[in-house]
Amino acid sequence: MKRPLLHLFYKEWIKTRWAFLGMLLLGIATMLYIFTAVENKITLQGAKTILLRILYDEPPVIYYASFRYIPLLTAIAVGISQYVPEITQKRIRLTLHLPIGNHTLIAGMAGFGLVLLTLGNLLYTGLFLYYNVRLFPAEITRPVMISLTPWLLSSYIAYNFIAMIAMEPGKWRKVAYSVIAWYILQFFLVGDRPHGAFGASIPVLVLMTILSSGGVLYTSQRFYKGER
Amino acid sequence: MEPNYVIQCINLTHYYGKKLVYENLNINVAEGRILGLLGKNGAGKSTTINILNGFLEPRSGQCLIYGENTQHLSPATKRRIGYLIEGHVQYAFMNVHQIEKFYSGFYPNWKRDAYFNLIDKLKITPHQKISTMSCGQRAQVALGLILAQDPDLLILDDFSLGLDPGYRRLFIDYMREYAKAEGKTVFLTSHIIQDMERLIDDILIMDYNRVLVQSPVQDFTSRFKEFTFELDRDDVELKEHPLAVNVEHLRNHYEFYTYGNETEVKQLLESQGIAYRNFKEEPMTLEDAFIGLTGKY
Repeated sequence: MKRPLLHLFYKEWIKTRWAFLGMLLLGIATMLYIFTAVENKITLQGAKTILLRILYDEPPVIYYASFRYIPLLTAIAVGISQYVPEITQKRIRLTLHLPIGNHTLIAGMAGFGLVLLTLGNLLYTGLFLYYNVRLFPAEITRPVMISLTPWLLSSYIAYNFIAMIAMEPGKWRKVAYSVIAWYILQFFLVGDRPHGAFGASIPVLVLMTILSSGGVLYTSQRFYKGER
Repeated sequence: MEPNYVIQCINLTHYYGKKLVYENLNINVAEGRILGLLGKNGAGKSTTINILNGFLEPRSGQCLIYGENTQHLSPATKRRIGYLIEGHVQYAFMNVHQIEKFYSGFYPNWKRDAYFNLIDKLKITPHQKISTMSCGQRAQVALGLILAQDPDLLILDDFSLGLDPGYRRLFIDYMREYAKAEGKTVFLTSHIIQDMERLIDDILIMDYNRVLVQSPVQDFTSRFKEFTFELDRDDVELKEHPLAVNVEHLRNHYEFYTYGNETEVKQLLESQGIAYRNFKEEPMTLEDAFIGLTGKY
């Protein structure tokens, strides 16, 4: 990797590290809470009862519901800690003056944030799988993971919109992006549906997430042109 | 022989919405010169700085730095430009060591010692964040970073903002000596014109929609004059005469700003049958000349 990009990542890490590590702790604590609660219920009511309730209750028992907003909150914490210092006093002008191509700079900054979120999501997913496989039959893990996927994806789309809103020079466009982000996130944060529901829509959600990445470059280009 | 221009702005025209900022503005900054851009609030100083840094696309025309359009500066050219943001803005969430480490990765000729020679003079703790420093200390950090970068061109946007007189003087003396010793080109703006007087070689004075002066400071201050005199009346209208650049008066005491000489002004008054007394030429600082040229309002 080129040395300037490493130094850019150093700056991004200084900004985001406490917010990111704090959110990781919250995520880990949430996982421990979810599975400690499940273990307690298994001890009190028996594994068979719990399993039947999870599979057949209407509405379904979403034992992992506490996790729903954790990836989103991680994205908000990373995004705000990364971009608010840049737009305060328009410090982004310092960043855009660095001797790297503008697209590379913006892609480097956004890429750093997305890598942090991916690390967080991998940790959350790894912990979830570890405990879930220990407590439940393997057949339940796949549909549950499908239910978790939109929540994990919500972190990327929220992060991309935070970056877009931060870079956007026009205040009405900022409001418009915020409203659009709010509505789009509703698709990702559905919580009380049967395990594995919306599996078919995941490719669409992935496509929306990828498309939102282009928005960051678009608004940074508008900033660079001084659009009002 | 045509000088080697570091900055060339050619037929620059810009509007905010329908409001004209300026039309067909031309600016040239020759290599090794220190040019000060002066203008009242709203005259287009920030617009020009933003266009020079590529943060604003002009409606038409272009600015070139080292021959490259500022809208598409290559990393190699950006490396040659040191940029000081208004108010000495820097990455305030870093401390002095972190910020030095960060910037050093972008500039192959990074002069670490130049930075720490300045930083060592500050009474700060090694891990003190820039956000907790005084304005003067932040200015020194920003200056140290520019010296370490060792750019060929320095763009300093309102460098005196927030600095007390001592730091302003320190900054100016340091910058002048550095720029002249190392042959650097400097493009700067400041609200405090008396600072400019010690620092700049050339002056560019902008008023709304136009350039009033672009010349070496010495040329301007030697040609532009203020004459004061008293008349019997306080309603004499002299502003429209071609010799007058600006005329201000308080009751019957008149201040006449002109590129003409004493004889020409006296001839003007006499040709119009205006009796005058206490006629004299006033010595002017650059600030006096700026106010005389652009008016007090």
